[in-house]
Amino acid sequence: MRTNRRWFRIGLILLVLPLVFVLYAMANGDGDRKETKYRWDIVHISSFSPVTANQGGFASALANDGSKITVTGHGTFEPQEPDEVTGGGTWTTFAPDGTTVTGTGTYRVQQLVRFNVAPGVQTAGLVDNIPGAIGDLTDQRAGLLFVKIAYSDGSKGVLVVSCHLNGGPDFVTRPAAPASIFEGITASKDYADYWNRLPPIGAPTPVDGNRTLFHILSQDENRDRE
Amino acid sequence: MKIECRRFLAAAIFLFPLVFISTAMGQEESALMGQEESAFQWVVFSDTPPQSAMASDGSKILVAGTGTFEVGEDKEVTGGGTWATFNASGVATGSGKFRVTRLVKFDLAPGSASAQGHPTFHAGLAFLRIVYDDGSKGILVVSCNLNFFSPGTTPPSVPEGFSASKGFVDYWYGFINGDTIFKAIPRDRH
Repeated sequence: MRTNRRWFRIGLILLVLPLVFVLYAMANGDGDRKETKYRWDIVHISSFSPVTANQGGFASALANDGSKITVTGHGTFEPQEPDEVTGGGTWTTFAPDGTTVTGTGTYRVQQLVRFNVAPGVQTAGLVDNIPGAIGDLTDQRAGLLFVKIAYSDGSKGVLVVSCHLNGGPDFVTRPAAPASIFEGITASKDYADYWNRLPPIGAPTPVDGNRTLFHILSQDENRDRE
Repeated sequence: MKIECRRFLAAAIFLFPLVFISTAMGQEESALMGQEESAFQWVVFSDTPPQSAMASDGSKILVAGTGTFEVGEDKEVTGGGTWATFNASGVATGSGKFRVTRLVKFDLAPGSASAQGHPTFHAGLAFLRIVYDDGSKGILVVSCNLNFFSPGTTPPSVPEGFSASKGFVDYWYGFINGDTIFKAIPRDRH
């Protein structure tokens, strides 16, 4: 009887121990898989005093011949999961004269190509009305995003969203992003590359347009830094 | 004789689906051939002065390189090249080599250099994932316009040159003094 009990205990340990290991590994695995999630926006500035950021803005870029693409949009992505993307927006293309519309429609994001988060923080006092934003600006990020997109007319391309955060007014505590980071978008549409981004117009008479934002929606940000 | 005819008819009916299948396969092959060549060599020529692209602050990247890719086989890439970066004052900030890790996207554009004896030259736009030897990563965009060979054959919206990102910096102001080519690789060589 004693022998039986001993074998029962050994058997139990042999059965339960691997199970404990597996459960432990699974729990850790889930922790690792907790992905960082970001939201990108082409923002609409509804007021410049105070600066108030909303979703639903537009941004433009020029091709070599002066033809133009203007896009709106927002979406989400996870740097470690290229297919975990949402979002899209609208597009309009213009002839080199700047006014003749050559095409218009919607686009959707198909895949993340690459994202690099950059240093820098937002200017204090900005009012952040982007859905999902915390509002205290600590969730805003500068960075550079490449996504594959599909246009509603059947063409495909790559959308580049770049966000430069201006920092300040105390630049010691609130440093700006490196000046090498551009603010705006570029896009390709089949073989046409609208590479020449239009910059946002700032002081003294700021104009809405060509502004972008990234928000971090969930964590593990360190994995996305390089 | 009647039996022979019946056998022939039966064989024809039996073989009919095969004809469909082979036709479909042929069409598929033609569709692939519709792109005619699916493997290409890209070249960003090593010129004097070197080709460059600028970031928003005036800092610059110089790139020269070559490699191959296969449309539809994103990982079937070879090649790379050299890079050098300079700050806005022209002071060197880094240099080294890069290699291509994947094709992101390639679109052929109209254009021809056949009359000049280069029937394999093509215009187009390629996005390539690259790894720099300092550990940073980026996207190399190579665009080729063949109007140098045959004016008016490539749409003017297609630039000539390159742009590149490196980490979070996009050297987007490229295509300044571009000199690139896409060259079709014969099927028996890929």
